[in-house]
Amino acid sequence: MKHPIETAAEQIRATAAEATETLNLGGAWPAGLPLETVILLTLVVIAVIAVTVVAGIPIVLVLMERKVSAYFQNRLGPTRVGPWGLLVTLADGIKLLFKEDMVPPSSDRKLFRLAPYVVFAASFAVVAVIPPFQSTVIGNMDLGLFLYLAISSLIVLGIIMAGWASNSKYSLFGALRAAAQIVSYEIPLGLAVLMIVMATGTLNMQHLVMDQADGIHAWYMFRHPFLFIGAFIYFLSAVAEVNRTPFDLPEAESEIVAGYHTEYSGIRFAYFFLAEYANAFIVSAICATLFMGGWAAPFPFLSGVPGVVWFLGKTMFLVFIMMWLRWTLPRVRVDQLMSLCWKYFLPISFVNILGAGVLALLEREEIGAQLGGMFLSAEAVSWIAFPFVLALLGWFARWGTEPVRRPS
Amino acid sequence: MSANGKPQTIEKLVDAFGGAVLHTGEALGEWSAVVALDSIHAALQFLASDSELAYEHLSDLTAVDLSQLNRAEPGLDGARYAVVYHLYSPQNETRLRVKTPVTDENPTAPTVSDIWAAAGWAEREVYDMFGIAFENHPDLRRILMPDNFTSHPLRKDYPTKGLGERAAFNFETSASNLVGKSDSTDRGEDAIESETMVLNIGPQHPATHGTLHLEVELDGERIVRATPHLGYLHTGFEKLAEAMHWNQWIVVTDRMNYLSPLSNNFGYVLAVEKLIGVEIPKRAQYIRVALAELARIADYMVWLGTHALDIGAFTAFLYAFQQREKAYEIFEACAGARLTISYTRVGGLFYDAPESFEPMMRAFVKEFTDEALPEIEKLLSRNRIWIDRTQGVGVISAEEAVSYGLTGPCLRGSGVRRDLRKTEPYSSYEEFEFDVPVGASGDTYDRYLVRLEELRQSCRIITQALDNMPDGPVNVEDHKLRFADKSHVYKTPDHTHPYDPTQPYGSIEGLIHHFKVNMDGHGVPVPAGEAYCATESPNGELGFYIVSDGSGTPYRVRVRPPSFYNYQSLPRLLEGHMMSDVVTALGSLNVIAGELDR
Repeated sequence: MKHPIETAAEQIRATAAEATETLNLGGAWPAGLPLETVILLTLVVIAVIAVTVVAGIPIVLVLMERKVSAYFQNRLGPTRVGPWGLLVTLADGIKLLFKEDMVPPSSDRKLFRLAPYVVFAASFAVVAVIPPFQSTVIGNMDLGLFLYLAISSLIVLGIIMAGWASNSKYSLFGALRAAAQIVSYEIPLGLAVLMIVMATGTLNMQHLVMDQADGIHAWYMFRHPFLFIGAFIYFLSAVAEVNRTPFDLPEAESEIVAGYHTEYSGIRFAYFFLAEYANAFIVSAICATLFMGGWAAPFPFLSGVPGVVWFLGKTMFLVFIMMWLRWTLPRVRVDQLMSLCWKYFLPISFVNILGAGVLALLEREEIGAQLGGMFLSAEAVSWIAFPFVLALLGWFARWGTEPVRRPS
Repeated sequence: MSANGKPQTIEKLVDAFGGAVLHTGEALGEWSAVVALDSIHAALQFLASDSELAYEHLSDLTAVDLSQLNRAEPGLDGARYAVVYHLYSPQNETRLRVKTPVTDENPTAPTVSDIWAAAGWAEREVYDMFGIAFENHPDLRRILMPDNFTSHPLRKDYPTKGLGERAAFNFETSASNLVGKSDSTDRGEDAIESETMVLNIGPQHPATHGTLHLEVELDGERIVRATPHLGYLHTGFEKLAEAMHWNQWIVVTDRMNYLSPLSNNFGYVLAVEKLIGVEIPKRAQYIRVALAELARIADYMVWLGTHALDIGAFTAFLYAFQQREKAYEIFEACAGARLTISYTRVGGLFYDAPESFEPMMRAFVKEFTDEALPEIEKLLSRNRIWIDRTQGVGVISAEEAVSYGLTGPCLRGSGVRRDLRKTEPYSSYEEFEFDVPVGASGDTYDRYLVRLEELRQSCRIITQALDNMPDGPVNVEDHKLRFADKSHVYKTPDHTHPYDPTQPYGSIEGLIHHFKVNMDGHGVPVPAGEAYCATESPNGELGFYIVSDGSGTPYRVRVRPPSFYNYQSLPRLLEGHMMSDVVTALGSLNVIAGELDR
């Protein structure tokens, strides 16, 4: 029996030969290509297509951010370049391309040049595991979720490289803040993901979506209250991971100028900038995929709508929430950032995991069914208790903000 | 006031120091005393600590070069300089001016920074500008001029145009001098192996909103030490005044606190009017009050916007600037300019307010109090992050705030109820009803709340001013003081000015009046004398100490800039805080570089 890759390669060879003949390119070169080269070429083609498509996302997001912020702030935002300012990001990109390529003389030149690519590559590589629609995912691998966690952590490496190589105190400050922040928030984020894995036993993103395809009640977010809280923790940790307000300390303009990319300009700066927006999109996409059913329609009767619409719709909704937060909230201080992670998110995550584990165990051992016969199912009990828990948490959150002292 | 007409202060001072009090006198309602140099420290200590006098507040400390003064100052014979202390006693609500003679041969005076913390920077400025060294001063360095500057610019023998420093300016050496400004505290011998990092925040930095330079030493995120460096925007306003006519310098005052230029115009002309002894028409007073409160709103809007921006709330910034824009439209309607409006004149206003003034103001106040302010407050006041970022940050106790010479909202945030509009009402402020809000804990959040409440009170004052706005002229009817109407001066009446049908083609008198007020050697006739006039500007006590020799130009103008004294407390506010709190504390002081450096 032939290996599936062999079969695929033969197919590709045949298609290429046909194309060569039709286009009158002369010669039968594809037939002679070795297997490895064909695979390599195919991968390159796929990668180019994927990166081009993905690189378009930040361009859209930048425009969206500018428009959203403008409407939040009683402004119009960009209106001049193209209709409704649609082309302004392209114009910005072209401007950045034409700028002088500045490398500070006292910097570590090699590292300085390398850093943007590390950040850029790490954030774009994750796209491979996200399933945008039912039939396709670039890398449909069983360790997809794990790959996401692993590769997205590489971003912090690039940021530290940038901060260190710039040889500027502000950059170093930003890089160290970024390192502390991203590494810390990786933990609650990972624990939130772990809950899903506990419930389903798979790391394959496509399988995770298929498990939620029945409708909105099947979304992991609404499976049980622990996952609901988990979804929130995931999303907030993700906001911290991608350094957006209120957690944008690594590039807090008013404190440390621009953080790790203070010394960057031109297209290198654009790489950081694009990576930042790509990141915001990617964490939103993962959140949508993990907790909100990915490309699956929320109601079965809507399943005729193409999956990519749902996928993009859910992702953009989360991106919008990120922007909403950014244009509403002030920035937290670094000690508050850390205490939020270690004193609140982490314990809550542990309780979540425990709760999710108990529920999973009840289901598996069918104790839940027996209990259900007597009282209510475990899930129903937890949903009933849930509003009270939320109210308690909400009361804690508002504690200390009530008295607006009117001095007089 | 005791039997022989002398206030208790003077009597007690004379009783205690006898022959050392060289002269006492009263002019324009201000008492002053000249104390011999060797007893000045003891005398000031006595004034500050005596329980009945309690001059806890050093309003201002400055000096005057007497070498070209055409009259003999009693008690200051033979002295080249007079160091001038303006004291204020909150307990008795009295002011006192104390002077001490300093000779040219030995230009030294004892420091009073041990009595009032406020004197620290003020003495540095006197040292910088006059070359008077203060003995035992903990940190006597130049403050406004660069360290390698050799002259003392406010001495009378220093020419206004300088000694060619500008032409000889070398960016390379000057820049390295500025960056490497030595600091006062000893870093110890282990500086090389130090665990801390020195970070220069500014002079070009997104959060300094101007040209402030703060050198902070950091241990990780924690601040070990913060040293402000001043002078990047020093423009020699006080020196310029000595070569400008009385009305000309109004234009310069615009450039001091450029967020509320009218408050500066207002304070300066009030001081000149006090010196002349003229009462301006009620209508002008009311328009000045209304616009000063509008200027306060515009100023606070920039403060609120940038303060929020520094803490990361971007949207509040744009909401605030929108309101400021509307306030500026009113200024534009009145004065024709938006930022540097120079609307006041000695003896009144440049023009009467336009007809659209009242409806514009009313519309602004209504929208501001009903919509804009609640909207901004909704974003911040009960915001968990905002509260966490501002509560307990930059705390200063009431005693310390007084000692540091804090004024305005920064002082009231610490719970000291002191507002010059109440304690020493000027320009008919006594006819307005408003409250003075105070904070409780003296932290950034309290200063924020105090300012927000003051915005509401300002709106109240504006409404009252509009309701009771009297009719009549906006200038005194004295042609030696006021500018002649243009239709009295020029042949063609133009339509932008109140047209006087009795003078359709101008008149020779109008031309003469115009000439007399404007020309060199004539000008506004200000009698010889001195006056200190303080107003409650948005940042606090904005004082003008003016010495006149009766000629067409001031002999000496000293500005008591509230930002200068407020900013001095920053290292104290930052003690034990973190890097992110630098911008919080700085924002809550609302330091304006133009006013700080003058």
